[in-house]
Amino acid sequence: MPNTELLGVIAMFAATVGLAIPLGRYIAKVYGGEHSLLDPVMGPVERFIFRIAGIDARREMGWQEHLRALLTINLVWFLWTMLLLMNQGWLPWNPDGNPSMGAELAFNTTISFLVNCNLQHYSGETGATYLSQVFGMMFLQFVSAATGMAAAAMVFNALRERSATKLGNFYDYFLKSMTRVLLPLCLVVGTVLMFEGMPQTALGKDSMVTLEGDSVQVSRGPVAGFVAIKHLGTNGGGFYGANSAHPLENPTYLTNMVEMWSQMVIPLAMVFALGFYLRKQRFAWMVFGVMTAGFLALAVPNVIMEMNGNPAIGAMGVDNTGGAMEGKETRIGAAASGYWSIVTTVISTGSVNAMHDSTMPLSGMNELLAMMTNAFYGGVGVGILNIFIFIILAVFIGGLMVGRTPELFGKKVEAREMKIAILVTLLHPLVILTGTALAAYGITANPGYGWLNNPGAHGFSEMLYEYTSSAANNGSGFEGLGDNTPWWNISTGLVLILSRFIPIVGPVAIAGLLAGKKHIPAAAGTLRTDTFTFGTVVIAVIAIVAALAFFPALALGPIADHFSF
Amino acid sequence: MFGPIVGIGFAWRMPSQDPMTALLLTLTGLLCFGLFFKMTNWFEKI
Repeated sequence: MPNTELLGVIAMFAATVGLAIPLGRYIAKVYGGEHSLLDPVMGPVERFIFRIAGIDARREMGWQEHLRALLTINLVWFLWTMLLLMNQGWLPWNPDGNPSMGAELAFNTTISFLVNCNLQHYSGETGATYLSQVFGMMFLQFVSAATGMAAAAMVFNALRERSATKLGNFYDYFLKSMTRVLLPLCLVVGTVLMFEGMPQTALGKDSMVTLEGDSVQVSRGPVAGFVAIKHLGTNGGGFYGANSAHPLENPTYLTNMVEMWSQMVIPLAMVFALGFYLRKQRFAWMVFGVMTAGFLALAVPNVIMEMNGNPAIGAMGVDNTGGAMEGKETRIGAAASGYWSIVTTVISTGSVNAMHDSTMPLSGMNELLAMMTNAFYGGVGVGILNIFIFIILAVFIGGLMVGRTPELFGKKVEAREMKIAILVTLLHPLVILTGTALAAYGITANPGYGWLNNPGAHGFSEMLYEYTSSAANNGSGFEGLGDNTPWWNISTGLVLILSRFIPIVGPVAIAGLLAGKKHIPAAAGTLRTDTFTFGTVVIAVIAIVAALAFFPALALGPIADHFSF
Repeated sequence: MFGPIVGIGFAWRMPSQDPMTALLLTLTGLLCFGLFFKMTNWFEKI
């Protein structure tokens, strides 16, 4: 009899890829300004919004204007949410009477949701009100996802157009990302989740009597709507503290499949959208192949390791045949939890359906590697931007290796583009390793801080994971860390904001600069970028530049943890 | 006119929120955004 847990995982992946291709074709049509299915419904809504906002959505922008618009609206949202969270206690729609956030926690939470990370140093049940969940967190889950998609759309345009000043309109891309992609998909997914038992109510806590006869208070709220955009926007922030391990945030195996599909489908669709938009589908398949090779190299071992169980538990004489079930939900199982642990870390969602702190040490290493490389699928929009940087590096290195001029789509890649690409690439290990080193020094010199609950290699992994998750704008937690402290709130807040906007500004600048260059027609001496060979070079660049930079830190954390078993 | 009134109202209602820390962290966020705006020009000339 086939293993149904494995069949479930395969079905989830197949359904995601199968639906990502038509969705990618649709997204390419939306950004290309072609007629699409939702024109009659959303067209008037968009025109109305642009009219009251005073925006001329047909005005073409250059790359700098795109970035100024992107940064300006993000700055406004930063101020709005910070103010909201620090005042949520006395504002309306707070049926459970939760308090306002302190300044440090509000700073961390605001930036975390603004940058599509959703690292949560609070618990939704007690730390946020319905007003802040909906008009703070959920609002940012929509707009941060649309921000990433709009930046990617501008890069699509820059790679197709031969002008640096006519790269579309940021506000047009931004609004269409919401009205044509995120909102319709959220309505469908949210409805399915509600039918599966997820709460969607404005009422406060309910009381129930357990099987043991105890009376307990159960938090409710507008959960289904929140969870839909949490995954479709690759945000990952849970309505409840336990995220998608909570029975009301992921009640059944079907909701688990739907949530899994939701978080993967748009990042994959954006890869295919790139191919349809540029009419370079071989190139899109090359990118998809690189991403999928990296994804499977991390996901398959995790599923196997989690299904094989924990030898330390087995040595105690405890039945381990169901897999390494510590920190996992029995309704989901070891295979789907292991699979999710990699999906959520490669995609930058950061939601969890099991506790990553309890996965096997080498599974934890793979989760870290997924965020450290930050190149396989990635978040909505920004995944394309991340791989774009590696493609630029691969074009340059590959070109030098075979003695050909480094070119991408007929545009020369020169010193300026390389400087920006290297700056963006090195920022990632810099903030992660510096942050972890400072935290490790701090807790060693001052054990009285008390925020690290595990000693040795595992404790190191917890600190490394927190900064890696912040820098990858992922948001999942290894836990075991008392992270609602001034140090963690402020230091990860700074890592979050730097690691979001510099990796957006860099690729958009490179694409804009390339768009302004003279187009050189392909010739016999042109390095082809849609081949298996070039894909292999991209993987090698990712492995050398991204993964190896972290090897010493991984040796001190999860690898040492593994050998201590 | 409306903005300052709302601002004063919020400030009055949040005496327990350590306004100095809130101000410093807000300024830190603004400084980061200033850096990103600057980068858009810097990348042109790098």
